[in-house]
Amino acid sequence: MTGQVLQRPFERWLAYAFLLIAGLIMTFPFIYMILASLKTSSEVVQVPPRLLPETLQLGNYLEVINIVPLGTQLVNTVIVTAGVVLGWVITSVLAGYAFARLNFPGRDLLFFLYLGTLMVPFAVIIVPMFKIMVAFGWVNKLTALIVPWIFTAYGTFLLRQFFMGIPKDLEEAAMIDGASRWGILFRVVMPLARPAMATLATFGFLYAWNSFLWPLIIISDPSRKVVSQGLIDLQALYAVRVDLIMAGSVLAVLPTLVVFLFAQRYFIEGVATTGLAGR
Amino acid sequence: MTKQAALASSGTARKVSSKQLREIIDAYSMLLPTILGVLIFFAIPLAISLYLSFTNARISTPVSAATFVGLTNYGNVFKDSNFYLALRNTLIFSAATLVLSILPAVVLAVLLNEKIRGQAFFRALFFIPVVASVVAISLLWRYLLNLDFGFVNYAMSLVGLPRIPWLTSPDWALLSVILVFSWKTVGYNMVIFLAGLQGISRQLYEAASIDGATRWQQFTRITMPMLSPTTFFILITTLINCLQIFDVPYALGYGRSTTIGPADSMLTVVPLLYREGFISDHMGYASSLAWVLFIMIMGITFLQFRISNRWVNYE
Repeated sequence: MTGQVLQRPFERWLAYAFLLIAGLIMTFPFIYMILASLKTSSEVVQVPPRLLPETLQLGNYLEVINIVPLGTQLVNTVIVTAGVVLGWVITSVLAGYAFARLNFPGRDLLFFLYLGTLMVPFAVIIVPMFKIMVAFGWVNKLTALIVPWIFTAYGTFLLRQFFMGIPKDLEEAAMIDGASRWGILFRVVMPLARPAMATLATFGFLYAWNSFLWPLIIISDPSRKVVSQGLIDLQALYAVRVDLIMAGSVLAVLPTLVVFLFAQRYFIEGVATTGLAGR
Repeated sequence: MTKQAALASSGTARKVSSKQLREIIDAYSMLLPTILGVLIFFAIPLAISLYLSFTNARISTPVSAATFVGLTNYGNVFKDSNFYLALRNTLIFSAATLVLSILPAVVLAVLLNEKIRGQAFFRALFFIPVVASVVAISLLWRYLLNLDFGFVNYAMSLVGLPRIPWLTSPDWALLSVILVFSWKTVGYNMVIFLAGLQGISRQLYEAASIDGATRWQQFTRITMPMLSPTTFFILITTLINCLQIFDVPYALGYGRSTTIGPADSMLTVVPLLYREGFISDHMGYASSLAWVLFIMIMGITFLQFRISNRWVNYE
């Protein structure tokens, strides 16, 4: 904790007051969302609004899972997210290690070309990607939401930087003992890279869980949709049932909040050290 | 393997030892998934996209059946009143979001960087909107900003302010998109600023206060220049993201018709591209829109780098 020190108590209180108000603006909407999800459909649009529900309408959650079908869509989202996160970590560890430690012709050129892909907006490849999915027969399949998105220049860059910071002595010692490059990667380097892999996994999680434009284009079968799409359908079909829309939103937000609670360090360190989100 | 060996021998004039060959083979096998993935899901689509932008491609016809139409699509982009509307909205949205997601982030980061209790707690609090599903929070704000029963108008009525048609009037709708996106992004920018602040040496402040510098002078003469590389990074990335915004305007603004917000008042470039390509079935036109956007982003980013040496202070 560097920086200036607030000596005067007045300044200190002012700072706390400001932080508290800002904290309230950031979190009150979520509290309001949870409370609304537990109200009846008339309570939720009542004027003036009452903060607490008369009786807890836990049935809203059951109803929302069945009508859209948000339950199936949550499972789809979990499958897609798990697949993308796993893919990100595997491809980034392999490519990151090759770029960091191995000598091969074309290394630097390939690396810079790969980083260059970050410059291209997703919108540019969206139409041909759709055509390719049609050609592969992947339209309306979860495969289309996983396989194309497991390659990440951001993740490769992150792990390459991390691997470059590991002392070479460890690998050289293992090499003298006759270990192969693959053996070294799996037994020496990867155990050390757990924090970097965790950071990458958290970003992969956020990226996959919140992806929206691509599923919108490639999935139209309600039983294959992801939760973001389900919420949009809910809003379109049941616009008057704000209680259900809020219950669905809570279900979409809750898993990310739980993961954030447990992996907070990796989220924040990830943003702070690399200053990049996995987009 | 023979291809890799050939690559190796052409790359290096001297003779390749078996150990080096082994390393090259290992390297390319580790890179194989990535190289294949980038080829199939990035490089080839990129080339096809450029080609399609000169054709009248449709959703149902294969790429090979598209007819070449020359520069027609690009000409149409600059004749399309919707494009100018989307461009105007995107630029207003981006400019306003830069201010509203960066200034509060600096203030919060500076406050948190003081010796304050609960720093980690507040930091986590401000980060919650960053991790929450974009569509979910957009629907949440649709509720909060509702003209009749939304909490925001209720809270404003308590202090005597008039009700505002946040989402239902074309005059206010874009502002709502700006506010929601800034609310979601400010915590992310704050964490980066906080990391930047923590990298500034404490001795600089101590020396300055011995020399009698006021707190404000310390902020403008030490904090601001020392933080300029961080600010530059955030400006570049926020702007690139803003120019490609899709989910917030879509989730806040779609309704029964295909307009994004009342009278398309929330329409930005990527939602327009989605609508043209996948709803109106003008895929060739959508592709040319994408390239116009790409060139615009490249141009603006390049310009920012050119201007940056006037104000960004690298040690």
